[in-house]
Amino acid sequence: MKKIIFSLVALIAFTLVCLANENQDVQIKSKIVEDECVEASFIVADAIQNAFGVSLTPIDEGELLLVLYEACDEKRQ
Amino acid sequence: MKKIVILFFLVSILCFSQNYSSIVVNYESIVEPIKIDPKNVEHNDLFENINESFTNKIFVLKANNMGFIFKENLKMDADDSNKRMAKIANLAYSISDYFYEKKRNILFSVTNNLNVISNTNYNWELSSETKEIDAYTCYKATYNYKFVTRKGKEVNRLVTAWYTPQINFNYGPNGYMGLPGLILELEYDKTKLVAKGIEFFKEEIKIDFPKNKEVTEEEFLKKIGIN
Repeated sequence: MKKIIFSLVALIAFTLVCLANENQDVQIKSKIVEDECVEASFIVADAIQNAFGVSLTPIDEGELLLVLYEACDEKRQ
Repeated sequence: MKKIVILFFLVSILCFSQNYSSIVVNYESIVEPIKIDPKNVEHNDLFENINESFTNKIFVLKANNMGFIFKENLKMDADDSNKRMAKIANLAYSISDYFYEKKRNILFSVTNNLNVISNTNYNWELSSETKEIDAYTCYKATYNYKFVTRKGKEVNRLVTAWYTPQINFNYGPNGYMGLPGLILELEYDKTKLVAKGIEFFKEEIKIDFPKNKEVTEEEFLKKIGIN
């Protein structure tokens, strides 16, 4: 009886640990995906300015970064 | 004889005095296209879309005694994706939608449901140089717009405007304003906006100002983490 209870507790504990790890993986994956779109937005904004040879004002660049991020975010969904 | 001369001037003043309270101005955009480098393929699709976007692109300025609104004249069937592409293309040329509330002397653009307040103190340098645009005599004015980029580079952007005192609104395209007349042509960097058609209205046309939270440019840049 004691062995059965011990096995059951061990099984439950093992399951909980596995679930916790999975959640952490999902959170880390989400963070990586978010960063990818932020990084992509900066790369594209820089590419546009380099192609033109002119610089955008901070406000125009800020608005552009936001729109580029939205476009990237929509693509991955 | 004197009475006839005085009467003539009075009639002239009455005839040529402003008898409109609103205007709608269409601005044609003339931009230098992005050069497509066949060797650098990574962003060429985007660049081609931006160049294509500026085919027959028209911006509209609507003004009345309350202020003005300046925005692109998008097609009625433009979906979110089209609107987003249009905005990317416009921003690549530093063109944005602008609203101006005359009562509070506030000029702002709208991004992310925020009204981002812009500066209205343009230090225009007036010139006596003139040219005709759309049958109006226009005078030249320039403004040296100095700013520092995200990467810390100091930039001096020369903005050239041609305005006409014959139209009694001191507004213009892309948020530029403050000259003694309507700006009919604006040029800076690779961008040129030229008035192609002005409509005058006796009645006040409706302008709706977005009611969002107002932030300064500094607050906006801090919010998005690039300041």
